[in-house]
This record gives sequence, structure tokens and C-alpha cells, in this order.
Amino acid sequence: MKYVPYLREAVKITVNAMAAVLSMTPRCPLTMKLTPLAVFLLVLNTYAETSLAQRVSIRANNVPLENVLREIRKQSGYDFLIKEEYLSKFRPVSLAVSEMEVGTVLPLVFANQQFEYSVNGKIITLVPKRTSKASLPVETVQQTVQGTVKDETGALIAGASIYIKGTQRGTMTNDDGRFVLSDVPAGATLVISNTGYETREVAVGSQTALTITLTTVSQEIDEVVVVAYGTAKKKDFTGSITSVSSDDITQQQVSTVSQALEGKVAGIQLTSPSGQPGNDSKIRVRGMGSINASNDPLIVVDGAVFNLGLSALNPDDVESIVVSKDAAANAIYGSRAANGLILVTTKKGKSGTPKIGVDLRWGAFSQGVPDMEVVRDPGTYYEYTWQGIYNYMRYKQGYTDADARQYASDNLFTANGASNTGNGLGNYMNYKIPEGTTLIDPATGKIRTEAALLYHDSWPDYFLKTALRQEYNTNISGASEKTDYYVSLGMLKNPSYVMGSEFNRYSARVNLNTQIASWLKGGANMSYSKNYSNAPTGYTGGTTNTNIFTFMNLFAPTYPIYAYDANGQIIRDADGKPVYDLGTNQTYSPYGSTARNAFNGYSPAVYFEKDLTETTNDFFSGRGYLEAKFLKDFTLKADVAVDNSYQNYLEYGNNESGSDARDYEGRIRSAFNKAMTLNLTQLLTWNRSFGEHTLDALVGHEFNKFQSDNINGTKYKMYALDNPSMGNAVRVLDLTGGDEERTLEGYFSRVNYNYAEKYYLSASLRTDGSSYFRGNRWGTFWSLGGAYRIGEENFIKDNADWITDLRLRGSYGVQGNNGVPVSTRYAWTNTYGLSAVGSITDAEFALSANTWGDPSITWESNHIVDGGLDFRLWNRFYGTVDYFRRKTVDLLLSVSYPASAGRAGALRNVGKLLNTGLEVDLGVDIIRKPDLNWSFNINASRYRTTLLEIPDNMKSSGLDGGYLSGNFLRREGTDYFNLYMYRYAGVDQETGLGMLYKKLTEADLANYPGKSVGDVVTTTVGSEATRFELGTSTPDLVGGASTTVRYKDFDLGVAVSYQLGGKVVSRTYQYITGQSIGRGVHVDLLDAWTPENTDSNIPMRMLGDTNFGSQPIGGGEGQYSDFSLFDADYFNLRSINLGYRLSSSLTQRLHLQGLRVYVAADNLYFVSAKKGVDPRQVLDGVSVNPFNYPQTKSISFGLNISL
Amino acid sequence: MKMKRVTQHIAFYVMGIGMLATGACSSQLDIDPTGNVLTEEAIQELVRKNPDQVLEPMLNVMEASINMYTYSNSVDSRNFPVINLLLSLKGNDMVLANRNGGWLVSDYELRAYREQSTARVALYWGTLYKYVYYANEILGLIPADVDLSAADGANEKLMRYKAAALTMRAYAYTYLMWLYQDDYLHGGKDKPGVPLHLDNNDPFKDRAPSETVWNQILADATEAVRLFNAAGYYRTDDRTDIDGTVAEVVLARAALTIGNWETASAAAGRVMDAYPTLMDQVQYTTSGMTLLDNETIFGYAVDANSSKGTSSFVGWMNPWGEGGYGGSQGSWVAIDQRLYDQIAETDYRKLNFVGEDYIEFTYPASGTTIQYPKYNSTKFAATTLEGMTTAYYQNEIYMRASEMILVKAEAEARSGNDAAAQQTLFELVSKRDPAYVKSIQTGDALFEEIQLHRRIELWGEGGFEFYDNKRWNLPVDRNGSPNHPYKDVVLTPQKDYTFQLPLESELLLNPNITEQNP
Repeated sequence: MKYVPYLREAVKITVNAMAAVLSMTPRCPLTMKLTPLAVFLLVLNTYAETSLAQRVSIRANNVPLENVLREIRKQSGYDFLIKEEYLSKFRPVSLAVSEMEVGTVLPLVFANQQFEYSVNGKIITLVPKRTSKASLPVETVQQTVQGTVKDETGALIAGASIYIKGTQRGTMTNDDGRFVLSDVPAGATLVISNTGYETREVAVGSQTALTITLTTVSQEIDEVVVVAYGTAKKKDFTGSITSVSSDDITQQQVSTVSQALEGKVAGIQLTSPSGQPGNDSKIRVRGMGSINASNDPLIVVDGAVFNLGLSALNPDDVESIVVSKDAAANAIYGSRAANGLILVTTKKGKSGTPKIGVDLRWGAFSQGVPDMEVVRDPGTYYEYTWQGIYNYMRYKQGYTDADARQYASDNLFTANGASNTGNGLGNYMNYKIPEGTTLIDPATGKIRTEAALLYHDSWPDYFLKTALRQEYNTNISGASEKTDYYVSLGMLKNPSYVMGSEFNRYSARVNLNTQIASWLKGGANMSYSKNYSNAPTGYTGGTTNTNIFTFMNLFAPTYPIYAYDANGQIIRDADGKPVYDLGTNQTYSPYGSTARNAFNGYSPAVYFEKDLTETTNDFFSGRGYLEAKFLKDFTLKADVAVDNSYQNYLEYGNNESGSDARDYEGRIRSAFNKAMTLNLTQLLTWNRSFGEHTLDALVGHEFNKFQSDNINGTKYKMYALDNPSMGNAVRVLDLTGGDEERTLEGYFSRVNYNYAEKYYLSASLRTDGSSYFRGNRWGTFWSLGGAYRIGEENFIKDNADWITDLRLRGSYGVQGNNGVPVSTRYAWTNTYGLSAVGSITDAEFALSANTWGDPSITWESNHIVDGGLDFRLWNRFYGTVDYFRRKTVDLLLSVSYPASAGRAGALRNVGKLLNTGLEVDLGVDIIRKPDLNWSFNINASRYRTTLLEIPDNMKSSGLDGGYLSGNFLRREGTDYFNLYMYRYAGVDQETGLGMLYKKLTEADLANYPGKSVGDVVTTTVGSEATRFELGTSTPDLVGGASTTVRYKDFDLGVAVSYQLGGKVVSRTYQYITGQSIGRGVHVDLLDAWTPENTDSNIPMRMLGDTNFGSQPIGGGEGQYSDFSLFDADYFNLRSINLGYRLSSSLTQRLHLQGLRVYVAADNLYFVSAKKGVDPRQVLDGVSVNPFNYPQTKSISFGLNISL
Repeated sequence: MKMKRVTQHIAFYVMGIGMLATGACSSQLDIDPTGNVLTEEAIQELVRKNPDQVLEPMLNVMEASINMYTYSNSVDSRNFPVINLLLSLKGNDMVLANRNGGWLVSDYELRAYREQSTARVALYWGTLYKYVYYANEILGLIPADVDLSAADGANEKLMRYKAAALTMRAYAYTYLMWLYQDDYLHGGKDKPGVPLHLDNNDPFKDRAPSETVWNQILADATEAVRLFNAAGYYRTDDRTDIDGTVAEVVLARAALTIGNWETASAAAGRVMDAYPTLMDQVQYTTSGMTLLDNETIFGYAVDANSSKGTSSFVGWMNPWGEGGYGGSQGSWVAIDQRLYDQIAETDYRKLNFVGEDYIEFTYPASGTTIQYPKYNSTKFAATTLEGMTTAYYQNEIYMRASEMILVKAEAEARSGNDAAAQQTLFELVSKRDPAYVKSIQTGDALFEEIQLHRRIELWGEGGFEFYDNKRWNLPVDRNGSPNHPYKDVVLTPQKDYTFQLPLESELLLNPNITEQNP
């Protein structure tokens, strides 16, 4: 007996090949020279090889059986034991399967053979088929059955397997979804199955033509997900992960995938301070684990850490996003995974005929969150101003009612409280009135009826428009026997709804994997993306003259955009072009020269149009791997990833209008930044099954290096108009540059074990070294995890068949955070900073100490406990519940010193922080019928952050052992987001002034006879008020929900996101409820307190008095009262996607594989506790800018074409 | 055969492990600072080799900090001159005549400026202690083994660094004591002073007694004067560096504050000798107080890069600065009519205030014309500097000789030397008012005349009126002023002039401080 010597051959080839791989493995000096071209890489790994569960893809058309077996061996690792004499009896095989389990494929392969097989470990032994026909019931009628297999959308399914129940006979559907099966006994049942679909059984009866519809498996427990350094079946994984599919992403029209996560994943919270298209949302996984170090999750794209930002990826190229949350899932990333892990996988080609996909979208892009309700009507604004003057004269100066009325009417354009030197109306007179009268009738306090409106410009109308968003994506993908490929091109043109803001992206990608030899695989993912944005820095909020939203909302509605003459006509220059109002007397007024109350001397209409804040990024990203299998159970992978970015930033302040025109005669700033991240990984994995035991192990090494260089400079005094180039400026304002470098190295290992796919154990260990630390450079991180699939126990299977799957998970581990801010990256030593003093041409050295180092500075460590439960009931209800407890120790905390020490904080490893939370993700397949499919999913999470330990000097006895941080009071054992603010006490019924609460101290008692310490009183004097602890600003629940309906050729997806509880400050509200004239006014103020309207909570408008309520208290901008503190609840209709798939007869006539037309709407409806407040702009509820860029809304029409 | 298999196994493991090891680039984990960051190690080495290379740049930072640094850098707190302007507004003599939104209003209306939780008290405290910190940094790096008792041809520069640092430290502590405790001669002497940091080693210090702090200020300033003298840096030509005359000004101010009339008068006299030429009429009335020349002892030379722009001191005070907060943006200040009326018609200092109902001015870039009303200040109205694009890029004067004349006169008067005081006062006022006749007043009347001229001469500069009212124990009372739009508050010495220590930035972080001001 002679066995085919596959094994020995394999070993020989493998060893030779490994030598070749080794010679290519970079050593240190070489590392520096690597370019993306020299890349070889790895991927993944056959992580969970258990009995006949490996998936193989085979296309064979009359291929010798031995070739097919060879292929199966190559793909699955199973060896075949075959007597040489059998070879001559093999019959050719025709077969097309994709990613199908070996256990399913083998019966198909042997269906028409004379052989059967038996499995023993990794060896499959062939034996002649026993002629068992006699033992089978004799079938009297045999027939040939043919049929078509479709999915619920009507799309034909190629490669579905059909076999006769109880036999090993079967076949596959061809590319047209058709199959023919001969000799089917009457009364037989066909079993039809395909990956990703529910297996169906169909009784043949007497039919000879069948149409079978398979239903998609909604929430696959068998789903294979990408995890750290590999993939795993979800059911086999002990960690807590949530995956988001490409459908979830492309259903939305986001410019970057981070925005697509809103409401999709339990346990994460997203914040987007600006609606600028292309801006990545900030992602927080399971609360906030760090105070001064980074809280950003680690982002890994196709197996390597990705520094370019998610906006460098075309969302259409993304196959899946996995958010990985606990220690069992992440600890193998050691020092970088404490804040969670986002694993992004891009698409790859699938077997079958090459596919060409085209997706085209055209959309209307507009403001998605409403503005605050600001008085936009000039008449109301004048009347309101009149009221403020009247009140001041009447109640503060003691005028009679009649005198005050007359005074307010006569002095409408000049009165400003005590001084009469002009007010914020700035003489702008939008009405024409009869000679000798006043605009406001003193008798009524209303605009005189004879008054005629001369002019009124709506600033929002001028600056906001609905833009056309265009997105075009096309890709070609496919796979041959040895090679799969995915090639894509994408273009996004996304002008925003607001003037001066825009985002464009051009992207290209090639993903390629190929089987180089039977034991060697390789591949590369290369992508290029050019991102262009015009994103004015002022738009991120703040009352600056470069913020367009400030102009639109904080300016009186009486200010015009254009200059108007006495007749209310726009003034035109010699060329007939309109003249803009600059706030410096361009517009006529009968009362004197006109002036806005701020930002005068330029027209925003000019400079928001002309000024530029352009960023152009060229992102090149390459990942390559080589993967060798050897000694049957081992795989060795070498992975090289290089991400390069080239950024060019241009900031141009034109030389015609605006502060740069005035101060610099035009100014231009240019900055170049080039950055490279190199990531080298080597992985050795080993898998083995012994009977019911499955074990896999991994050891690896990773080296990561980041390097960047930049140069930037500003010039001013520009010559030509509309010429934003450095050459057009003649004076240098500044010129600097710098570089940054950091490295990280890690050694890691992981072991996964399971018994009978029932009991699971996993463990990982990693040690990392970082250039951020010196004395304590190496940190060790580890995890232990376990899972128990109770649902697989017989006592469940036998007694509770409604339990489809039930699994308990638990893990504990230690993860690190080395994300120290760049400014403190040398925290291990004392540093000095060099700068320049004197003029730019005559500068001298200047030197001062900046950071105070600690040689022992090291990682923050997160100790993370996770307990989870996954279930699927009645094969219809499914869900996941997770509890976590995440304790951060050795916090990288910026320790504050008293100001008299002269030095600011220094980074130290002190303090402890705790995050605990609960995440729930539930789903149900409400209807699952061939023609109608309806499912619903909801998730929610809740977390709390508690400060456990702070350094002694920050424990103030005056604050019960706490310390102040802006609007928070922090102390050990208290919620980290413990608001500490002034409290608004309503209106003083005596004076009409706003009041604040005050808690009495010993020193106050003299002024408050009869009161005792701790009593709370009210005061109208801001400096008298005291602050109160108002509880946490953290929301109670954050989450989302989605539903999908498929009816015949229609499909509908709806997703929402929500937040319940928590608090958020609106600084915009604060500004527009202030007391000065010339500013925007919230409509709430129209119902202010007066002696006649005493129920109002809004202080009487007294122009000229300081009225605490909305005003910042204490002289600074930082401390507020709860007057502008709102509940942080919100509900957002995140996306709606309604599609119709044209019937196959129609598409075939068009020579298309498929055509889906759809309408997609994003952020269609948003509601929060106060109109205009968007809690998503800020995580802590407080550190929010006034007048920031509202989020966007888009409604698109799209075509999705398969060729 | 079997043997060969084993060998292959071993070979393979060895190679696998070897492959993992090749990435072990631990040497690449050492990344030292580059660019503009230096480690202390590098600094120490440089100091050993060539102290100038470290100390000169540190001196540059310290000197520039008066322009460059404040604890809270905002529109109304760009640098030390600007935060002193906020104090000038808390007096009798300066009127916020026109408002631009809410800017300066709280300061002018004396709202919440001295309580522990207000931002203002933290602003001065943090700014001045940073100056102390810079000074101590230099003192800590001067090699301990070099003898600085006398110049020897090699140690002059070190003497200069040390002297400048001592001057800066004394300068900062003077202001701290002026703000955070009652006037020395009006009850402050026996009260706690401020934490006294003579090095940067202990961040947690309690307040030292007032007397101790003042003694240290005098000692530092005196030693600084000695060192500058010995090293040959008593009076440098550059008006932007700290030299011996700057140390003398610090000494004179401190001595005057604690009633050491002799020292004050002597120090001021030496400065007068060093700067015999005062600004003339043209300079006084048209330069906007920007000339680093003649009587300027210490100041700062601007360029477009280092200027604080629209919110610099000149940005706030120059009405002709287009875009400046005090220019076209309209935060205009005026002189109290009560003081204006006391300026003699022949005194050209009166020309720094609008005497007509209004004057017209047209801003060059926009062509806008404004009417600038009576009593408004043109004292800081400078025209556009050559090479600059707007009128608020201007040099600033921190110290000038006229102040020293007034210090000397006051010290002489208060020590009973009326004749000397009359003569000293005459030396200043006769330059400002050709018709001025030497005073024949004596005693309190003479002191009051000196006070009046100090108010006129130093109007709007350096927060002097606030500090002077406190030293002189005078209230702020705007009742009776025809042109103060806001009169509702009266400041009563001393408490109203004495700030509480900041709560958040100091008391809550410093467990060692035992006493807060009432």
C-alpha cells in the first residue's frame, strides 16, 4: 500500500519558502528604507478550525476528483488518505461552492463517486462505497427535478447546495441559480442550503420544477467576524464585540464611516462638534477611561493600526466594522487598546463571475438641526428694544409711565441704559416713517402703523442654501480559483449648505489575494484617497468674526447685508455691482451714521465667500502580507503596512474685506505636513483539533513607527485680488516647522481552546515598549476569557427547543493606554522650549522651562471585567447583554499646582477612574416569509464614570475633598461629570431682575439675620451667588434602533438614534438671552417678566443693567448658571432607505445583473429638549462652543447597478 | 528519515523565532526631543559649557513676558499693560465713555473684581507668579560656584542675569503686595503677605508676613542695583531690557510704598540723573506714548508678529486704530471732567483730551468718519508706525522718568522736606506747563498738589491711579462727576482695594495657605 506523499512534499516546500520569507523580513536598518512596494503581508488566519467547519471555495467543471481533493486540502488543511488503486476509478467533478464548510462540500464532491469517506481528526480516509442500495427502500418512481433558487429579494443564488435528505446525493445551483437533479425518488425531501441563508427543506412530491426562496439569516450565530490578529466565529469568541455590516453603512450617506456608527453599536457614544462634511465623529467606547491621555479607540484597518483617520476611507469600500470592547477582545493590542478597538475590513472579491457594481447618488444637502429660535423680524426687534429702554427708565430711573414711553420712543436709537452715547441699533432704520414722528408709537409701544419697511436682509437666507451632494462609486470584483480581487473607484462631491464649506473625496482601491503555491498565500490592499475640504476654522463655534453662524444668529436682524440708500434701494458702485454694508456708515439712516455693534469694517458677505481654509490630504495606504502554512497545523504570516499622508493646508484671508484685509492687507498661511506610519507584524499560529478539543495558539511581534515633518508659514500684504498664493504676498509673518516621531514594539501571544464547541477559554499576553516612556518603558497586558454555550447542552436541547442558542461569556484583563498628548510626549524628562523674541528679521533666542518630567512615567492601565449573555430564542428573538467594569489605574493625570508655584500641571501616574455600564442589543425577526421579511433591532447602553482617587494636594477641604475643573466639581467617589454650577432662581418680583441661589456661610450671617449656615437664599448680585452640585451630565441611556422590511422587490431600512437623560449647556442660548442691544434675541425673551407679566421666568429686559440669569458669572466666560442648562435627551431619525429592485426579467432585458433604485434620507428629523440644542456636539455636556456648525441633513436619489 | 523530519522541525522553529526577533528594534524606542524642545540634561550641559547660551535666552523670555504672558489670555487680558488698564478703569479719573458690547463694562462698573471666585483675582495672581517663576528659573541656573561679589572681567554677564532676575522678582512681588494685601502704611504691615518663592522647588507655600515680603523686595532690588552697577549695566542704551535703572524704579516704588522715604527719593533721584530729558510737547501730545526714547526707562518694541493686535494696550487705548477695540470698535475712554478741569489751560497735558464738543476722524482703510467727543482721550492716539499695517501695532512704555520725579517729590514731601519736594515737582510740571510757577504749598497741601500732578501725568498708564488711591487711602467716588455715566459704586479703602486670594487656582490647590483676605 503506497500513500500519496502529500505531507512530506508540503514540509519540504514550506521550509524552503520560509527561508525566502525570512530573507525578506526587515531587520532594523532595513526598516527605515521600506516603501509600500516592498510589502508582503498577512492576513488572517484560520483561526477556528474545528471539525469540518473550515470553509472552502471551489469552482470545478469536469475536473478530476484528485485535483478537487488537492484543492480542499490546500484550503482546509485536511489530508486525504487514498489508496493509489482508487485513482483510476475517480470520476470528474463539477461543482461551484463559495465559502462553504467542508462538511457540506464533501457529500457533494462524492455524490457521484464510488467512494465514501470517513473523518478521523484531520485525516479523511476514502473507502469504496458499500452497495447499500439493497438496504434502502426501493424507490419505485425516480424523476428528474429542476429548479431555481432565489433570495427574498428575487436575486438568483449561485452555488446553493441541494441534496436529497438522507442521502449524500446532491448538486449545486449554477450561476443562474438553476439546478438539475436526476433520479430523485418520489416523496423525497430536498435540503437546500447556502451560506448566509436559512437552510430549507422542500418536499418534492410529484413536482419536477421548483422555485425555492431562501431567507437571509438575520443575525447569524455562525457569523465570522474580524477580531484582533485574525477572525473568529462570533459564537466561538469570548470577547464582547459588535459588528456593523456594509449594508448598515451604505444605507446612510455619510462622508466618513465614523458618522455611520451613530446609534448602531451599544456601548459607544459619538460626538461631532461640527457639521462640516468629512469631519470624523469622536468615538468613545464604554465611557471615558482617561482624563489627560487619549480617549480615542484604536483603529485597525485590514489588520494594521491606521493613523490616517477614518475619513481617508471610502465608506463604500468597507465590508464590515467591528467594535471590540472588552479585555478578552482587545488586550492583545496591549498598550493601545484600553479605549476600545475599531476593526475595519475592506471588501474582497468573491468567487463567481466577475461583478461590476455601480452606485450613483444625487442628494439635497441641507441643515439638519434647526437653529435656535431667534427674532428675525426687524419690527419685533425694534419693539423689543423699546421695551428694554422703557423698562430701564420706568423702573430703574423712576420715570413716570408716560415719560418713560416718550423717552423710549425718542431715544430708541441712542439710549443705552445710563449712558446715552448710542446703542447697538447703530442707527440702522429699516422703516420709513412720516417726518416728525417716532418709529415706535409711545402710546402702544408698537411700530407705528404708517411705518413702511424700506429694507430687510435675511442673513440665513443669504448664507445658507440647499447644496447638491453627488456620490459615485464603482467597483469590480471577482475571484478565480487562486486569486480574488476587488478594485474600486469613488468620488464624493459634498458642498455644504453653508457658504465656504465643502468636502470632496476621490478614492481608489485595489485589494488582491492570491494563492502563490499550495502552501503560500499573499495579498495586498492598496488605497489612495484625495480628500479636499474647505472648512473655515471659525465655523467650529465661538463669537469670532470668522464664524458665519455668529453673524447669522448673534447679530440684530436690523443690520443689512447690502448698503441701502434713503429710499431703501441697494446702493450700487460705478460698475453697477451692489455695495455691501460694512457696518461703517455705508447704509443711510435719518439718525446719523450707521454702525453695527461689533465686527465692523468688513462685510461677511465678501469674506466668507472669498476666504479659504483648505486642507488637501493625499492618503496612500498599503497593506501586504505573505502567509505560509507548514507542518500542517502552523501558519506564519508577515505583514507590512505603510500609511502615508501628505497634507497641504492653505488659509487665505482676502485683501478686500474682513479683518485680514484691514490688519494685514491680506494674509495667507500655508502648511505642509507629511506623515508616515509603518507597521510590521509577524504572526505564527497553530491550530489543532483532537477529538472534541480544539486549540489554537498565536505568537507574534509588532513594530510600529510614526514619523511626521511639517513646515508652515504665513505671509501678508497681498497685491492682486482673488489670488490666494504665497507669491502674491510680500511680508513674512512667521515661518516654522517641526517633526515628530514615535515608536512602539510589542510581543504577544494568545491561546484559544474549546471543548465540543461548548466550553471556551482564551488567554492573551502582550508586552509593549513605547518611546513615550523611558524608566518604565515596558508594560505587560493580559486577559483571560471564557464562554459557555449552555444552549448546546443536551438538557437544554432536549427540554427547551425554543432556545436556539444561549451563551454566557466572561473576561478579565489589563489593557494599557499610552495616548499621552503630543505636547507631553517627553513627560519622562524635564523639558525646555526654544522660541523667538523680537521681530521676525531680528529674532533672538528665548528659552523657558515647559514640562516637568517624571522619569518613571508609564502607561495607564485599564482593568476590565466583562460579563455577557448572548441568546437566540425561537430562532427569532436574539440579543446580547453585557455588563462591564473598567477601572483605570495609574492615570496619566495632569496634576495641578497652585498658581503661586508658577508652573502649570505636570503629567503623573496618579489617580484612579472607574467606568461601569450595561449594554443591551436586542433583535427580532418579526416576519420571515419568502415574500415578506421584517426585522427590528434596538440597542441601549448606560454608563457612569466615577473618580476613585486623586492626588492629595487636589483634595480641597473647602470642597469636601474635591477640586474644581471648569463647571465640574470632582472628588473621590463622585461622578466624574458632577456639574457644579450656579443656579438660576427665577425673577425677583420686586425688581424684575434675575436671581441666583446662594448658600449661606458663616461670614454671610451678619447680612441675613435669622438664617443659619447652609440655608439657601436668592440674590440678584452675581458675585454673591454660590455654586451647587447638580449631578452628572452623563446621559442615562444612549442607543439606537433600526428596522428592515423587505416585501417582494421593495426594501426599506429605517434607523434612529436617541439619548435619554443627561445635561447639556447651550452657550448659544446664553448669548442670545443677554441684555445688550444689537445682538440676536431669543424669542423666549419676548415673554420677559414685567409687572404685568409676573409669571415669566425671564428677567425683565432692562437695557443698561446687568441682569444675571443667562450671563456668565464671575467675570469669566467659563462659569454659567443652569439658566442655559438643558436636558440632553434627543431623538434623531438617522436614516431611511427605501429601495426597489427591478425584476430579473426587466434587468435581463437591460443586460444588467441587477438594478436597485432607492431614496435615502439622513437625519431627516431631529428633536431635543430645546430647539437648536444638539447634545451630540459635546460629550461632557459643558465644553461646547456657542454658535457652532449644525449637523446636516441629506435626501438622495440613488441607483445601484450590478453589471 | 525520521531523523530528518525532526531536524526540519527544529530548523523551522529556530527560523520562526529568529524571524520574530528580527523586529526587535528596541534601540528605536529611544526618541529624544528634537526641534524646539530640549531636555533639562541638555540645558545643564549647555550651562556648564557656556552659561550665556542658556541664560541670555531665558532672560529674553522673562523680559518679553510682560508683553507676552498673562495667566488668562483673552481679549481684555492680553498682557500686563492691558490688565493694568482694567485697574485704571476702577478709579475716579478714567471714564468708559463709549461701550463696545460688554467689554470693560464690568471692570468700569466695579462688578465682581475682588472676590475669591472671580476670574480677575486669578488673572493678576497667576500672571505675577509666572514672572516670579521665570526669575527663579534664571537664579537657579546661575552656576553656584562663580563669585559675583565683584566684577572680574569674566563674571559680568552672570551678574547681569542675576540682577535682572532679582529685579523681575521684586517687580512682581511689588504688584502682588499692592493687590493682595492692604497698603503697608494703612494696616497692611502686620498682616500676611503672599507666598514667597525664592526658588522653584516647593509649590505649596503659605503666605509670608507682609514685612518679610517687602524686605525681600527691597533686598532683591538693592542687590540688583549693585550687581548692575558692578557689571556695567546700570544704564543700557536699549530701552527694552532690564538694566540698573529698571531695578532702581522697582526699588523706589517699593520704598515709597513702605514709607522708606530716603531710599525712595535716592533711587528716584539716580534714575532722574540717568534720564535727564523728558518728552517734549510734540512727543507728549502726538506720539501716543510709544517712543522708546528720551525718558523711557523700560518698554517694548513691537512688530506685527509679537503685537497683541486689536486687543493690545494700544489696541484698547488708541482711538485711531481701525479694528482696535478702543479704536473703530468703540470702547472709548475719557478723562473725568473733574480732573480735566483741574489741568491748567497752559498745561499741554490737557491737549491729550478732546477739548471741543467733538473732533472728527476718518479711518484710512474703510474711509469711515467718526465723531470723537469731548473729554475723550487722545493720549494714546498714535499714528501708524512705519512698516506696520495698522495703528495699533505700537511700542509700549512700561516705565518712564516722569514717574520717578513724582516719586521723589512725594517721598520728599512725606518726609517733611517741602522745599526739596517743591523743587522736584517743579522739574516735572514746568516742562509740561510753561506757565507753571514753583509751588509754595507745604505739608498736606503740597502732598495734594503732588498727587494731582501724578494723576494728570500718569493718567491711563500702568494702573497707577488704582495703586495710588490705595497707597493714599483715598476712595473712589464718582458722584459729582458730570461725565461718569456710572456712579453707583463707591470704593472704600482699604478693603475694596485688596483682592482676595484666588480660590480655584490657589486656595483649593494649596493646602498650606492658612488665611484668606476678608
